[in-house]
Amino acid sequence: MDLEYKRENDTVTFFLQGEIDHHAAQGLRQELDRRITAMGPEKVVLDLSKTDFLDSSGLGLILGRVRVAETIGASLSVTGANRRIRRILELCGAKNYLDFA
Amino acid sequence: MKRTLLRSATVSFDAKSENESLSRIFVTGFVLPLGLSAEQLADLKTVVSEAVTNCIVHAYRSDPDGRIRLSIKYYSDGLLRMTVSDRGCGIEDVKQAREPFFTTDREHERCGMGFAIMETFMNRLQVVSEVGKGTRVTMEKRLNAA
Ligand SMILES: Nc1ncnc2c1ncn2[C@@H]1O[C@H](COP(=O)(O)OP(=O)(O)OP(=O)(O)O)[C@@H](O)[C@H]1O
Ligand SMILES: [Mg+2]
Repeated sequence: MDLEYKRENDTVTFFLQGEIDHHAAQGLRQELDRRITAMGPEKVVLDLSKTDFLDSSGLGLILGRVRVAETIGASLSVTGANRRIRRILELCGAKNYLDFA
Repeated sequence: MKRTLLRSATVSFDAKSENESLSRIFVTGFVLPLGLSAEQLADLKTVVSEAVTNCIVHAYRSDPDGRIRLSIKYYSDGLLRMTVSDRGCGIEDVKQAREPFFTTDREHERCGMGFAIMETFMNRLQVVSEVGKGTRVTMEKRLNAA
């Protein structure tokens, strides 16, 4: 799977595309962790503007990356989520620790 | 008004994560003639994905030999009923399993929100389970109701 990302100063933005379910999350998890740890940014941004679908497995993927970012002293935020995805993130209390830029 | 069954369809597939998207496509195809809003369709895809993923990761613990059955029925009064069933490990305490944030699988970064999402997005959620026999999840949505 191709994981698109962009690096600007201390921030690295990952563009999560398509449908983020349990199947997709398995591959994405490894790929994200590998890059986050290798690049060691101060800020990690997950851009969901190209994400069409996200369920609780996708939510787990996001919250898991919050913890991975924390272990290298970085912060994580989510941006570009459509209304339906935002509704799921809010329902699950992810709003509390994610910044919907 | 008496409720009559207008249309039904059933699929059975193996418990592989690749089939999660198949289950969403199946639902999408079934409701296509009903002309749902993008919002309504997205909700149905989400709840089916939750139920099917639970079969794969919990019921069969990623054993691909497991089988999952998904059945959809549409009734004259606008009721849509979707049933997802497995013959996996079953759930010991269904009431507890349905609680938001309850999960038996923290190590795989699960947050315990699958049932809570099904409950919120649908009008009715029924979970029948027997340890060692399997689980049947029935979800209903009234599509005509505003
Ligand atoms: N089909 C099933 N067979 C066996 N156990 C199940 C099944 N579905 C759910 N469970 C049990 O119910 C618990 C709660 O399920 P739920 O979908 O709400 O959360 P989760 O799957 O643990 O996490 P998430 O859905 O947020 O990824 C699961 O942790 C599991 O123990
Ligand atoms: Mg679940």
